Amino acid sequence: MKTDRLLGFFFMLFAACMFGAAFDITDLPGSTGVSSRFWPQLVLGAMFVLAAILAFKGENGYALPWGKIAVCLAFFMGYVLLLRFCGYVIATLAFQIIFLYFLGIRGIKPIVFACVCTGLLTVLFRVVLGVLLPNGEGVFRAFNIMLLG
Amino acid sequence: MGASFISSFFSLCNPWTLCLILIGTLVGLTVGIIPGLGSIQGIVLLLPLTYSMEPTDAMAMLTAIYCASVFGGSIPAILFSMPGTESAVMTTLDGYKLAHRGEAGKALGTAMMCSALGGLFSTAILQTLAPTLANFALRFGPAEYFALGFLGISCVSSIGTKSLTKALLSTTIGLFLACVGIDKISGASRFTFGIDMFQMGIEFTPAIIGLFAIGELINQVVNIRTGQRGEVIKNVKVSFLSLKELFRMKWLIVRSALTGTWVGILPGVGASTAAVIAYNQESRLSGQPEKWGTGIIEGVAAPETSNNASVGGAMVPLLGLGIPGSSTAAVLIGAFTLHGLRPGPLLFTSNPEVVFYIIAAMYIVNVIMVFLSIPMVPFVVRILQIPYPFIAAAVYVICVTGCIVLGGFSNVWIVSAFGVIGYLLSRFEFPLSPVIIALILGPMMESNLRRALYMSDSGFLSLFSRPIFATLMALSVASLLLPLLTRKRKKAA
Repeated sequence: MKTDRLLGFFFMLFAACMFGAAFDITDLPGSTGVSSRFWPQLVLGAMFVLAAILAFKGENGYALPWGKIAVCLAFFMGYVLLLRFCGYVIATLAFQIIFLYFLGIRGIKPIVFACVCTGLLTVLFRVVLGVLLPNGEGVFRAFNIMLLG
Repeated sequence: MGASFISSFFSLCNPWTLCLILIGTLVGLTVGIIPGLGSIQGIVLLLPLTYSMEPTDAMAMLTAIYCASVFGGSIPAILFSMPGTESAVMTTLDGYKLAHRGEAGKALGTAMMCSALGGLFSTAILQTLAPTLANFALRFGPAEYFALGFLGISCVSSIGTKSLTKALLSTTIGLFLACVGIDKISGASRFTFGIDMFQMGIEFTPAIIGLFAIGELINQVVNIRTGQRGEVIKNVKVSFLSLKELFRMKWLIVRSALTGTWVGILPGVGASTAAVIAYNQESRLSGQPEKWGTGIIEGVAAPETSNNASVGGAMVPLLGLGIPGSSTAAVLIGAFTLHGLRPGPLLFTSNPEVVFYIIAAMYIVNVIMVFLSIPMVPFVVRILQIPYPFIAAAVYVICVTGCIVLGGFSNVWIVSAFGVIGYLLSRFEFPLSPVIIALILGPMMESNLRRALYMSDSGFLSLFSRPIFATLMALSVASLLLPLLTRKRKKAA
């Protein structure tokens, strides 16, 4: 089946589910005027009709490199998790070095770039703008507090 | 207006604000030059830094990025046949051929002069037209505001996209996302599914960063091994048009500037469409269309004048009505919101200094970007040798850091989710601009429609007795149907 048609069916299903979920929206006692479920249901009704048109008239098929996308997302999610556990400086350094290595950059360049980039961003956000960057947990937290204050 | 503008112009000429405009111009030129980045990414990357600034300074800097990035894209387009932004695609046709013949300096000089002229022309139009529009909009009630939002959405969804169905579906996605969170009128919780971070609705800034910056980043990283670059031209010396040449092309420049401004005013159509229309129009009017595309100076002048003129045009509905004329203008609405401002007619009475600062900044940027870009040209040749992985690694970290600054870790999840949504939508050829514009206009449309219906005794149809409402709705329907009819006519032909 063409991707467009699959997408059409997906959005039809999504709109139908959300339309049903909208019935659970309850206005607070005392509120007057048009119900708060009126607009979302109007929008979801329109979405359902448009998705049905796509499902029955869609002509295009698309091939996506799902493997590459998954790896890319794994890197991004990994960075977010690293931020939480290791803190900003270590997570950013590690992410940039590994990410650049994965994208084919070899030698000392990824390390130099990661050090310069992390250093500049830390100075800009922590020192110049006074923003509290993630410190991580456990031993990393102690290290980051010692490093950044 | 005149006296206030002049006093704002002088108060803007303080070293700190000028320095910010300078930084904005440099950032704009840089993101314009680097393929994969553009005005949207430039603005969203610098948005967190403006958090602690005065709104006037912040908006002047962000507007500078917008203006300069449109021109920045033409530099690699001319030097490497690699448009830095979509709006520079038409410049590539003649610009690169001129560069290949050893006239890169002339092509760059023409692009610089014409971009500045186009930008200055449209800023003058903005200064004249926006206050008039804003005054007119003060007569609007809830019904008219709903119709205005509907007009904005109908234009965005119907122009410049391959599939009208997909464009409209994108719009409904944006409108649905705008419903998530606590309803501001009744206080009811909608589509939060018990998740705390959804209670306040979808945060606008992480959503933009995700959809545009991260989505594009994933796209570039996934295709990183297939990217091709044009031949590199070195030793470039910029030379401007002579007065005689400028005089010879005077009508071409005026027509292209008018076209660009008009196209910019239309919601949803950006600088790239302006450049295409101006190029096609001028090639037909030249009487020698066969020469266009072979490397003629007019082929650089027309699209460059037009794409920069579209910036001022896009700011007219943004400042006058609160409706974005382009995706970048939609992102600028996020910046306004971040600083507690609301673009639209009331901005002229509540914060006129912001409007004057923006207009004054646009005049300044359009002049200084010419002088700043000259010394940048030799560096561009070097910058573009930097492999994209380095840019990708830096951009992702900056986006995540920016989101943490703006609202903590919950924003990081939103930015990541929207990044995936943005990537998938663009790969499946769903336009992204309608999503973001619907996300902006959705709450305004909903609240005003509900108010209008509440105030009206006899339902929706009775609203058509209001002339402004009826006119705006008729225009909306026309803008929805026009592309359909045009496509059918083309198919029949």
